[in-house]
Amino acid sequence: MPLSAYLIVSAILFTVGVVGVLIRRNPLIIFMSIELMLNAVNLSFVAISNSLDSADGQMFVFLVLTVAAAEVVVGLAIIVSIFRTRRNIDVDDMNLLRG
Amino acid sequence: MNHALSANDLYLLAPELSITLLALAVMMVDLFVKRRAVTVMVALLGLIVPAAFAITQALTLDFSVAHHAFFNMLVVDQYAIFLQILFLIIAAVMILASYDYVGKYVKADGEFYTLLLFSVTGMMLMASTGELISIYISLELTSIPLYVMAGLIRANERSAEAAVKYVLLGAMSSAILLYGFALLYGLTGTTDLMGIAMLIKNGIHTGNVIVPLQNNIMELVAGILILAGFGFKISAVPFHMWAPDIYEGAPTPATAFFSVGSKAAGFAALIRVFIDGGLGQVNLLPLVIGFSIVAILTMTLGNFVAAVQANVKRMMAYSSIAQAGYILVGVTASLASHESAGNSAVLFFIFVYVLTNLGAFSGIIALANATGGERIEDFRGLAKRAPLLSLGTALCLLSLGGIPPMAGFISKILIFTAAWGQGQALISSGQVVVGQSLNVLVVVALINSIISLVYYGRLVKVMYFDAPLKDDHLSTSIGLSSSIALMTAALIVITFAAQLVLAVTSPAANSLLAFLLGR
Repeated sequence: MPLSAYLIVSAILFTVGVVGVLIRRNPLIIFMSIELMLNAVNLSFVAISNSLDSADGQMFVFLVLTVAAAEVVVGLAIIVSIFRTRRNIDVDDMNLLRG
Repeated sequence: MNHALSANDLYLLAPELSITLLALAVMMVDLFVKRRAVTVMVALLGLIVPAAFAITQALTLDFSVAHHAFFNMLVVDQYAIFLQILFLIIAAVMILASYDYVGKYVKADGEFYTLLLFSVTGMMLMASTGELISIYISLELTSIPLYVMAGLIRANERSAEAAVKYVLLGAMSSAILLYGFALLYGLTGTTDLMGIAMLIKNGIHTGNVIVPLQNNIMELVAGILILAGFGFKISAVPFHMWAPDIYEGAPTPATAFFSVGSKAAGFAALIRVFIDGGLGQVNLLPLVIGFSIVAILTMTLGNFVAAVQANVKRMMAYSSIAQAGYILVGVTASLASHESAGNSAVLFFIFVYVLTNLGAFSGIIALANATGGERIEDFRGLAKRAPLLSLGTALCLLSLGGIPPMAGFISKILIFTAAWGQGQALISSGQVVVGQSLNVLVVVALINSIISLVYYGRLVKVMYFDAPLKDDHLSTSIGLSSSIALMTAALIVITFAAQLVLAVTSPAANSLLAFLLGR
């Protein structure tokens, strides 16, 4: 398959992720959408790395996966702590602070 | 390329290494020693080590050649060292200023300092990396501790809410940034900023043909995505939505830290990627227009919304958004023409902004602690109840507003004149649209800095000319008052000796441009 096919799939996945972040109300689902965005990026990196014969992109993917795991750990801990105080994690109800 | 790891590499990394060890040491001390004062002393005195390493590097390294380590991942130039020392100052002031607040409100008090130090490690690395992978990792090293710090008052719903918003939007912004990096990597086949700059300048090799990147849409898309990703970190409109909520909900010392540290680090990496990566060498006009739109929106929205806030922390949030807009004016100027004047003005502005904002925030923490309120009306007549505190806070606020002859005024003048001069130079050299957009930016920025006087002046007026709520005398702790005193003193020194700072910022700005201009 040509590189462009991978990049198109990756762009579609990324868009799905962005839309998910914008329209979903549950922080867990929002996190899943962010993971989708990150994995779309990873797909691009791997495809580009393969077509260019350079290992940098694959290194990048390893590190993105690791950092994303760390980020999710912190995010889930914060979600648990908000669940403890209010028994509900819907982002629409998070309106104590108004932008 | 030299593939062996040498002792010199470790010397170049010494400031970051030592602050990482310090963070680990603080964590250990906090585990075994019950008294928080000891932890704080270790953290504060320990900061001397990385600072000493950074200063030694600044004095001993020969900056006529570039210093790279770890396969170009680490770049040590005057730009990096200048910002690293700034981040160490931020850490020291934050440790001083947060002492009482953390003891009063935060249960995990020792962790606050460990998180702060880890985040500062990330910031220092952001200033000194010249490679996309390490920029991403240091960005996350900066951000993840900040997410935790925002939610550190666990029993408080507002703090938890701020943390959720911060972590969700922060994670999304890094995904956007990464997508931009992926496109840039796809275009050039390297993650090294110098390599990227070279390839963008000369065109890319496909087979035996060299394809120029002029009018390449992908390069532009990558630039815009990277701007959007960093836009969250520097809270530029339209990526600013998180800032006011998180500033209000997070513990106030953490807020002060976000408003200076996260922003300065975001700018450090943004400037590094756009200038050192040479993204402006092609597609300059659309990039400059994109930057200008973001800068104009940031200044205007920040100032107008700040003027109608009732909560002081929210007002400071919007004020820091507006300040990011002024910095973007300088960044746009140095993107458009690779002159060191714009860059040097940006570094000067960031330096002054960090000091005055830290001073203003320390004052607000102290006054809010003493009065128990964070609304503007709680600050009525504070000049009579806490004269010295109010004086320091008012001076910092007036400098942020850019009242002559304060340091804030000098920094604004420097940015605006540099941008205007470079705009005129571009117009006369034929790049009329780019030059004109710079000139439009300067005019908008001037109007905005007049508007900003409304809300900075209002807070000062409330403190000095309104009747006090009570007739008592407020006092504050030694940590907070010393941090306010230090920042106010620094402000006055910079006001009278701006040349001293400029003598440091202009070589720093030059060192950033050195590679691009082939010096």
